[in-house]
Amino acid sequence: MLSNQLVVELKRACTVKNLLFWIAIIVFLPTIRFYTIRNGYQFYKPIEVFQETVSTIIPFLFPAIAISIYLPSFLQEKKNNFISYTRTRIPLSTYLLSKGLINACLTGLVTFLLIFIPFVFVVYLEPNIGIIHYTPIDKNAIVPDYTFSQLLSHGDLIYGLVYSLWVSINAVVYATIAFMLLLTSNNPFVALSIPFLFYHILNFLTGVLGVAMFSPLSTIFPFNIVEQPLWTVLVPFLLLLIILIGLLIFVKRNQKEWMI
Amino acid sequence: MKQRNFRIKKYLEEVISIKWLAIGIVFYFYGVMLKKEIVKDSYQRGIPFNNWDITLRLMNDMYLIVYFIIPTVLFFSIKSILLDFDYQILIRLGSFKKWVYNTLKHFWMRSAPLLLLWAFVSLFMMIGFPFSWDWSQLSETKHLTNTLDELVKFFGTPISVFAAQLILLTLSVSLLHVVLATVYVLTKSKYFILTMSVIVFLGGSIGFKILPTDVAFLSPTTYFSIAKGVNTFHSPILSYMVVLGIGVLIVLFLQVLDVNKKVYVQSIKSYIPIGIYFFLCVIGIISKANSLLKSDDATICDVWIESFIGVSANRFAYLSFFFYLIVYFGFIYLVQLYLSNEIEHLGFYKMIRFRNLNKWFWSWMKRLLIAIALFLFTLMSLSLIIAVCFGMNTSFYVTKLSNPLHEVVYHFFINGFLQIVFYIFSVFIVSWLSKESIHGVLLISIFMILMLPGVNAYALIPVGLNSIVYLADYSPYYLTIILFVMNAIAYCVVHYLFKLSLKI
Repeated sequence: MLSNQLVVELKRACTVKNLLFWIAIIVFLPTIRFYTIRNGYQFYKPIEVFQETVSTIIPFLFPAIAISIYLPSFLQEKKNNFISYTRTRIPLSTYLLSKGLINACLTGLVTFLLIFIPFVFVVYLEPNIGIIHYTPIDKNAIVPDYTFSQLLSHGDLIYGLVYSLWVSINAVVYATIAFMLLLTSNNPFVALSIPFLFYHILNFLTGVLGVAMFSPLSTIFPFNIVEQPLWTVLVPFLLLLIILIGLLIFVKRNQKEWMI
Repeated sequence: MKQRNFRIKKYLEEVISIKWLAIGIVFYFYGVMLKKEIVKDSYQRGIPFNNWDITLRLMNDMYLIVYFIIPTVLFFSIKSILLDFDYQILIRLGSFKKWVYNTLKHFWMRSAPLLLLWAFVSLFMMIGFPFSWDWSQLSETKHLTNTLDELVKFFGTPISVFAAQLILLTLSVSLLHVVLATVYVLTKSKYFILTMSVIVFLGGSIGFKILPTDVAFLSPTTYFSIAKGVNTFHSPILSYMVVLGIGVLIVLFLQVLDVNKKVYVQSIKSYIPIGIYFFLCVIGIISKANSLLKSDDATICDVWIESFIGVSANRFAYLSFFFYLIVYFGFIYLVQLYLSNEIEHLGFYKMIRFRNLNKWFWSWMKRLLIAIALFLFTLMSLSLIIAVCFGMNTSFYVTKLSNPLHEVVYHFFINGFLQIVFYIFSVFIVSWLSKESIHGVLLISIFMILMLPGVNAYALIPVGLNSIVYLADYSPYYLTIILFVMNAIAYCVVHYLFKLSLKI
């Protein structure tokens, strides 16, 4: 039943409007940034161009992207009392589980592609086209290292894959938290915006406390601070996971109070 | 009397049980191991040692504390809580608050032998070591296995360290138990406190190894050893302060433990976002004031200016940027919270009452305009008050900017007002068009991107123009014109939308 429902949900999610929206996110955001950095910067390696491409615009849109990929459609179903009427043909828990899984998968996929496609383009395709002028590496050249640059020693592709996965896992966690909050909160606006608030408030608080290496911004998109050991990125992530697990338990236990 | 004697006898029997013997043996063998290490060290370096080396090291040993003391204490604590949480006892005591204190007493009766035994073995281990009341040279030298060298700087005599460690241990162990007991009262879930104790244990065992000294205050183990505390805080007082501070908070919380808090929570629920928001603003201003303490001639106006300096296309700093986001976009978020209620729920009824969209619009817009003015005044007075509290120079001139003060004040109030009004207009337009307040969040994200360096190069996009840093490159009157024009355009759009609307 669940697998069947998953297929149904997937079909329902893939409307032309949604597909265009996702493709727009994946294509336009990196392109705008790439367009602005193609001149005026000094690059030695394609990896640097990639890091510059996914920084600044995507990081500040990140929580908004995570909550806008699939959740608005779920919000519509909730607002228009659609979900109550599905109970005649499917158990509520199966329906919601399938919604949650599709939300996680689609958010994960879109954010993965959002990072990975620019990576493939910049590192493998662009050098053949030659839009960016690379400065030859001499002994004065300093190629900056950021967190996750540790993985570059295993090859560019591993770096690209692991980093894209990391961003998409974070997006999945943010989106799932918002999804659960939608189930329990009676104010959908607050429920959807809490991941957004969490992201920005924690950025501010870690900045004030002088521990910017633990800010969500610098752990998901570590291009604004110097290289940190890899364990630092797990600190805000663990906090998120704890919140997620707590919410899961809370949602499971209070099935009667779901705001459906 | 007889019964009392019987009780004491029974208690003593329990204390001198096989359990304590086993624990004593663990302490003994650990002590012997440490003793060998000290002797070896001292022999290799040719530095004399004395009895306090072994006593204090055994009392402060992190491995012993993390892997033995904390698990044992947690075990006793959870056992006491689960055994004591009995409805008959609760009826006898009458309140949860009294129960928490009662269980603390029982817990200490169960675990006092552990601490006493530990202290006793530590003192017992000094047999065979040269005796002295002073620090040994081995304690004073800095090397890998010595944990005491920082302590020597703060304590005159080793015996005071011994007493300090015992007091700290008693306080932190009591605190741990009271926290667990309070949580149990609140949740009534065995698994919850078990999970909590697992987190304390894992946090401690991972924390004391991995965390660097700057953030070691996060690890619970730091508060179980005075030596570790001194290494972390570079002062013995702070460990006590933290433990006592949390203790005072818990004791205060215990006073309201029995009160039915749901009613109060419901009544203050709507003020929580505003409370958090002002808390964040105050934190931001305090951190700015704190960073300005280093410069001698900083005035209270500088604190105000530096706090709301914001960012421009050419002058960008992450912290100022984040604080701008928190202050202004946080305010817009709160406005949106209000608007989402106004538009999505109340809107139609109110529109019917006012019979005119414009009247309806101004009915709440008027209130928001007053709120903006009050908000800007609050921000300024908050920053000035905080600056005075930090002991800044209380004269009204600016050292951080070349502009005269009246220009800055004009910019902060007039341009700030216009800027926030523009934000509200745009948020309203988006919510009105999409009927979906979440799109306002997307709008705020787009605003954030427009404020990033290099985007708003000619200050033509009306986003973030109330940052004080703009005064360095632009005249405030130019910014006013831009904002005024943009506001006029936005208002025309609102007007047009109302005309277009067939919604009523």
